[in-house]
Amino acid sequence: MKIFQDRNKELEIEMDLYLNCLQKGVMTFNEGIKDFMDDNEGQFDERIKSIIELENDADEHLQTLKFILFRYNLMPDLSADILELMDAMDDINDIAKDVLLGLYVERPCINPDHRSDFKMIAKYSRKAVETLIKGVRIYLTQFRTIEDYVSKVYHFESEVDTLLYNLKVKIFSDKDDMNFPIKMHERYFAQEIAKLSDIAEDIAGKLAVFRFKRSL
Amino acid sequence: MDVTLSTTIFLSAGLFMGWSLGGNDAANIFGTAVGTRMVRFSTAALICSIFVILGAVVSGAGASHTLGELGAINAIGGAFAVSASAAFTVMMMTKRGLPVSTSQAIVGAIIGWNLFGGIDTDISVVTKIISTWGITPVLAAIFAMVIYWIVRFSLEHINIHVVRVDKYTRYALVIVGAFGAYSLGANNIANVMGVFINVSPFNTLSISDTFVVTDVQQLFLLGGIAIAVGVYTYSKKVMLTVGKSIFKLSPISAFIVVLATSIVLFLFSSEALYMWLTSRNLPALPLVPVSQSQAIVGAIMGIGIAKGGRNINSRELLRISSGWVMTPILSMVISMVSLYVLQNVFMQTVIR
Repeated sequence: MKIFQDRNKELEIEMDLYLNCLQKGVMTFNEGIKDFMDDNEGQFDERIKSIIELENDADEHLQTLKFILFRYNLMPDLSADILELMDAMDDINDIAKDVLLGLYVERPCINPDHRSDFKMIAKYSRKAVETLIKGVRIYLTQFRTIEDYVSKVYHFESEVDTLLYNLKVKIFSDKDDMNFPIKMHERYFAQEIAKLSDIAEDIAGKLAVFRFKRSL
Repeated sequence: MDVTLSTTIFLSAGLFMGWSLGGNDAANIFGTAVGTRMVRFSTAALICSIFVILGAVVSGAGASHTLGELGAINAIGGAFAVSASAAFTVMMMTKRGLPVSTSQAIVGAIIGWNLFGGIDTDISVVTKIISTWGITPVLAAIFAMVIYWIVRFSLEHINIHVVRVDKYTRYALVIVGAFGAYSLGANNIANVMGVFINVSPFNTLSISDTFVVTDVQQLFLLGGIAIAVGVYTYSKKVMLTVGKSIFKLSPISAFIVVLATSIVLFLFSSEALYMWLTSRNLPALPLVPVSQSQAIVGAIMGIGIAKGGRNINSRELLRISSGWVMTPILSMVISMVSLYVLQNVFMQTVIR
């Protein structure tokens, strides 16, 4: 007689694969922004394909993960927290894909003077998400040190806010009203790119709370 | 074997006690594990039944011997009245929602038999037994605190993936559940069948020179089976209640509580450990049937203290403690009344 339905290893692998997809997704996002700003069209198109694939893969892993978690009733005391965490993190690849696809479809006209700012926002957003992913991995193993990661995510998010504010000031400092729609378009994409760090901040807040439930 | 209809009826009180123990006390062992669906009920019931019977038959004699010292009930009618009184008391107290002790109930009922028969109660034995009622929750609390600190340190310093922690917790719950069931059988079989030892209707069975099943072991086997029947027929509902409402414990806390409780029960029932310690002139705990409920309350308190003692509900604790005082007194009174009724209304021999 088999006493246990041992799906634990499978779940651990699925969690790891899911986090890997998110990690690759945010890296692709950052590279995609750089390629767009540097007018590397061929490479930008490749990034679009990659991010769509990664988003699909992440969705599949998330579904499998949810199925294993509930079907075999693993971690009954923590499953709700873990699921909330994983579900919230799904937004990372969704936003990354939406931003890159938005750039691909709408082709906003970015002022060459502002391009480095866009790249900086993307870079710090990436850092915020990467730190969050590390924090989630730590939550799953060595939860005592989560606070370090949470405070780093907050730091990167605040950097992104500052960069976004400065960029907005730059965009609208030119008094030429004829370019107003272009300015609005630029501002919109700047905000969308910065959204990733906001999501990272929200999830980091949840992580800080879940950490207490993890302890005995 | 001298099993007649009347002895079967008289033994039924012990069997009822066993069934009740299986339904309630066994649920304390696997309650959280089953309630949180960490372990399936079928697995829990099977392990619990096997190990309760093993504990009862292999290690049940020690604690029963002490009960015999308290009052050697020498008529099966008397044993019936004592056992039924204890069972009735437990039922009444359980209805009031108090985690009541079958050990206290049976001790009270035996003292009632002594008083009814005008037999002197050995005060040293009473003192020994009553002292365990204080020691049991304290010891369980100490064990729970120590285990809690060890587990917490391990979880915080050894980097184990949360999914693997879940897996190990399931294994641990099954293993300590088996140990808990064994200890429960070894310690509490005395409450179920202890009063029938001197009036056992069974004869010793010699299957070979080396394999002998004594009449007492047969009696304990019967009691163990009654407990197992209680586990299968009544404990599922209690397990789900224990797991979800009364003691809201996490699976890891449940592991700590069950392990601490099981160690305490084992210490109070292991003859081998008792002999080992006394042969080396070391202090040993008396072999006495102790209350699993008291041990569990003590262990939960121990975790509460280890966490900083903020969540301990003193009023609830006082209510539970009042039950511990009332149980033996109530059981003693009911025992005396039922012995009187059995002797004078039903014309049964309750004492020789």
